[in-house]
Amino acid sequence: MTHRFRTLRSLFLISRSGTPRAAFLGSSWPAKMAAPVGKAARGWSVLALGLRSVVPRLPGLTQVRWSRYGPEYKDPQIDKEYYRKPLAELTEEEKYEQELRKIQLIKAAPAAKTSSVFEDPVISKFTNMMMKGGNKVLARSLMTQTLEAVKRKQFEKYHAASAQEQATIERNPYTIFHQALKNCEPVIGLVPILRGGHFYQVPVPLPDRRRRFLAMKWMITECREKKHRRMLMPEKLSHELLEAFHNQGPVVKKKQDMHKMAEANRALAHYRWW
Amino acid sequence: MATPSLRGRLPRLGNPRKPILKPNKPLILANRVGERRRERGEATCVTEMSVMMACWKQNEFRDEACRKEIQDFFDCASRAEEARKVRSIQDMGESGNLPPKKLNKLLQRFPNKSHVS
Repeated sequence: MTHRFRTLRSLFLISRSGTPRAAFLGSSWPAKMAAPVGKAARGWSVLALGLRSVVPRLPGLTQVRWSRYGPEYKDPQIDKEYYRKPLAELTEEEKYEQELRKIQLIKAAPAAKTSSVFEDPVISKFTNMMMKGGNKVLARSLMTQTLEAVKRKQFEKYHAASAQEQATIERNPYTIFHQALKNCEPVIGLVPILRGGHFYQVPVPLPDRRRRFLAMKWMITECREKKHRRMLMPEKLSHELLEAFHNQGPVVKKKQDMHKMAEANRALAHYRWW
Repeated sequence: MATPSLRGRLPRLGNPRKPILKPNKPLILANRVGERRRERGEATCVTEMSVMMACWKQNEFRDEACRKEIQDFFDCASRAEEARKVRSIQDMGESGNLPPKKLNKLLQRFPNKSHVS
């Protein structure tokens, strides 16, 4: 918990590059050094409807990186289908929920989430995982370039192939992406468990979200580390995705190595207690 | 049963006899309670896992050949997860007392004053 708190000194450092700076663009910077701290401190105590104002005041510690929304705020419903359902089809609970949403306070939707038909949660998650230092623009452009590269490669293969093979070649980059990640997901994971002073790698079933995360993580790590120095990320990533789509390549091999280790350690499964 | 008496038990200047108790910490109520001893669980889905691994051994770890076993394993894992959740929710609404975690939170908010302010 303590890592979320900052002393007043580092709060001062934060306020140099934080939001109060925007207010002082035109003015002389050194002269207004003391003011941002005061402004920031006062900003936290502003009583606004629904905003977190009741904060335990610990001397020397101020909260940073907490959500400004109180617990009464609900998450926004991005999905259009939720609202398109005709009134007759809704169950009692759904009707009640929809009525409730008209009255409840709702948070603002994040900028990366849209209700467009092109919105794909898997692609968004992958883009976020590729992002470095908050550079979403770069990550998104790399993602689109990757999908374009996949599509180009598949179209080249399509035009070079005979009529029978053309039916088997998949050209939609989104299906290739999803299938490739599904092929990279491990079925079973290994967890280090302490028993008798030693750590044993015990095979354990993984929840869905952990498996998806591991697939994406392995893919990204593989593309970042094991490539030629001058090779760009979209090029490498498109190559790896196509290989994973056909169940070949280093990421699928890593998944199979994990399975093999789990199989070798299957006797240790009884060390689990859940 | 009343609290056992503390009269003449501690080593103090006014106490003529040998001390009965020699506590290493001050005898003040702490603002937390001890954790419940967790029960010894056992591993779930071991049979499904071994069936799946036998299938893998036969088919050189290819996933397409073992779809059914893998699906069974996943189903077993999700069932075990649900059962665990249900059990934990059930346990928390237990015999009269709050679970230790909630008690500790409550005591943090309304602590016992060990000082006279």
